[in-house]
Amino acid sequence: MEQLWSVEGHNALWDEATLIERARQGDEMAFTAIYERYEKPIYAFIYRLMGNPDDAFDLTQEVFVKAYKALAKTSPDLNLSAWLHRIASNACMDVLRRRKIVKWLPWDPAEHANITPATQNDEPEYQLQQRETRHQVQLVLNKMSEKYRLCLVLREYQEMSCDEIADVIGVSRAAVKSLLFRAREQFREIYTNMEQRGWQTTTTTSKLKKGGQR
Amino acid sequence: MDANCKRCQPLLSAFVDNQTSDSENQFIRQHLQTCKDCRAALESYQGIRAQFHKLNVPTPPLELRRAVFAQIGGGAVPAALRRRTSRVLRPVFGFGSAAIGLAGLAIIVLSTMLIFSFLSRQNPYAVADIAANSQGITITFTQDIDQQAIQQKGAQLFGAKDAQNNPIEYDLQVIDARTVRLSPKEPLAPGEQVQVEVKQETPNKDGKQLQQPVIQVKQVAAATPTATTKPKPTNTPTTEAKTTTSNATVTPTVSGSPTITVSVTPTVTTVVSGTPTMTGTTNVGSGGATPTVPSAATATIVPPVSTTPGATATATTTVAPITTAVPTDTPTPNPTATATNSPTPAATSTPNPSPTPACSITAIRGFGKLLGDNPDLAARIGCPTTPETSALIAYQTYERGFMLFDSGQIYVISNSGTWRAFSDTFVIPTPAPSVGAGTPTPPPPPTPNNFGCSIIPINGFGKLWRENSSIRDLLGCARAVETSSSGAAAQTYVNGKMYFSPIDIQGRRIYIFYTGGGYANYPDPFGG
Repeated sequence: MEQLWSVEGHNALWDEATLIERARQGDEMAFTAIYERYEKPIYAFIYRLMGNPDDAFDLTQEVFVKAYKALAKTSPDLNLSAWLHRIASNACMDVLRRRKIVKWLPWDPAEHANITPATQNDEPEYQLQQRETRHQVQLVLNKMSEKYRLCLVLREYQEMSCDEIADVIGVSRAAVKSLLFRAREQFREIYTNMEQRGWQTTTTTSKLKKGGQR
Repeated sequence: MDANCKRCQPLLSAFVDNQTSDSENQFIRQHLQTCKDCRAALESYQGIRAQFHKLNVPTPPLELRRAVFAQIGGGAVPAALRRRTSRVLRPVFGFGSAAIGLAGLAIIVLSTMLIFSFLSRQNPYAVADIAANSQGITITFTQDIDQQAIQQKGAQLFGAKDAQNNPIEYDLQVIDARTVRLSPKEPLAPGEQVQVEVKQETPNKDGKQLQQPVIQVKQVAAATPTATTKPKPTNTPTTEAKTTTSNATVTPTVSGSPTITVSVTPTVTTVVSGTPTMTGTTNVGSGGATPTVPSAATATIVPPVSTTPGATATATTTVAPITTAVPTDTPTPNPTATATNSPTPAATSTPNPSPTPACSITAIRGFGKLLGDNPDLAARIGCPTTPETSALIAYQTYERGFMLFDSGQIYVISNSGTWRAFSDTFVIPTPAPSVGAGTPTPPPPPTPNNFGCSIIPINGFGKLWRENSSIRDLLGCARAVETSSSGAAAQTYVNGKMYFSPIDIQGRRIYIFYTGGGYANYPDPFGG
């Protein structure tokens, strides 16, 4: 499922603390190595949160540019993974919240067609995914509330522990446990609902209907 | 939903995250035995995890890196890396071009139509090897490829970039039915690193696409080892280096015959049924080979080792260069990197005698490491059929073995190296359902007979042990009271099941239950 990314050079030989220290001092090679390590997990993480490759491209770019600029200001004991995930989470949550506001405006299908996540036509990967379950998980994720979606993706897709998630989103571990429980319940509920409807009315049509009622 | 369910469901969520205490586990275990809804909730939470595990990991487009480094300023590409910047920076392939997009779509649609009819477990369609020398990059596949389509669409299916991330221009040749060569317009420098990408849409002769796209960084080999031109850091490799290695770095170029045939002698060919069910009668997990034991009757232990092995089966295992690793935030340093820094002629490499079969589900953590370190074990147990799940287990050690409880099943393991599974028929007496009484207390063992032992097993272990003299004879007396843990893990394989237990009397252990009754245990090799 996961493809190999083996870098047989400096990247493999430098430990993370050294990389961070060197990048902080302006060593571009070190930042490049950091980029190589985290490009794929951060891209995949954002992809699952946003549900489409265009957002994943734009936001991953934003994350690494921000990280490059902010790295010098970080503390020496930086947890790089948590820090990058935090930047990524904030960037995604911003966009998702902004779009939620847009959804309250009077609905114009032509205008809003492009904000529907994971439509079948414009996503090459969507076509590539043969197994139905893959679509389904993403379809359910796209319908979840942002905070639950974030927690669930960090736990189940990025495979972080509750402590790591607490670190990323800035809440207590107890709060993470509670968020995860509610997120799983929401996932179950949406999954069951969509399954009953045969998974078809999940994209533009259902959104249109929803918009029309408002 | 009663009050217990309300309490139980958040705990079940915490349980799948290993966030429950022993007393909470005890409560969960008792509640689950009587509550169907909560069992469904637990299954659903575990199902969510399994579904996420099935999601693929999208590959970032190659343009992303350029977009990032273009934004953080020209200074971001160090002067030392600008050797080739005089070239036109043009992506070799990408999503950018509408024409390519359409052509790609055609391939995708075609592949999707055909994909299910050509699924082959033994020999998945994958890249067998990628090798680079100064003449070019050779890509070998495990199956015959669609030569015509590849010749036509080559530039969209393969990509090569140098260490500075500039595209390498190449001519594409189909060498034979399974081999493609990319010949660069300028010869590659020995010791140089090249990044090679093979797109998932690359079709085989049946039109099927690759199981997954491949991106690998290869060092260009030369006839004689030369000093590498790359700046080498003085740091020593980190001590955390794990042994998850890429087969690709040790696999020699075997043009024309990319598959290696390995003979394995499976003890039994039956596939262990998935997660054992909580309900129902005895489920021994070895098909019809073992007798069913009525729950309350006396059981006669038939050593299941004597299960007749069928004819020796031959499994074809492909040398896949793809190490299926868990997505991890800190990629594992490749321990073979130092070895490959001084290139050796491909002919002198010794083939890895134990190629890892390409499994669609990957064993991770302790299971993955144990199987990675012990190819014979990996060959015997086969590929995982489910993702690893957390498990709530109970454990009790006896004079000549131990008992393990998981999901309504009790495994009886003898130190002689055999196991049997029984369904747990123990029911915790509950008060009248209409009354919301407090937590029930298990009654004392109903029989005064202590069978000459100082510790009498309780609960499901106790019921099984008391009611079956053959199990008592096999195991002897309990040496300690039972303990339980939510920190266990389980995974089902083609030829058995693996458990990780943090509470074995010997410390953290991994148990392997082979289909047919074979049993072995190993110290957990994970995390030191």
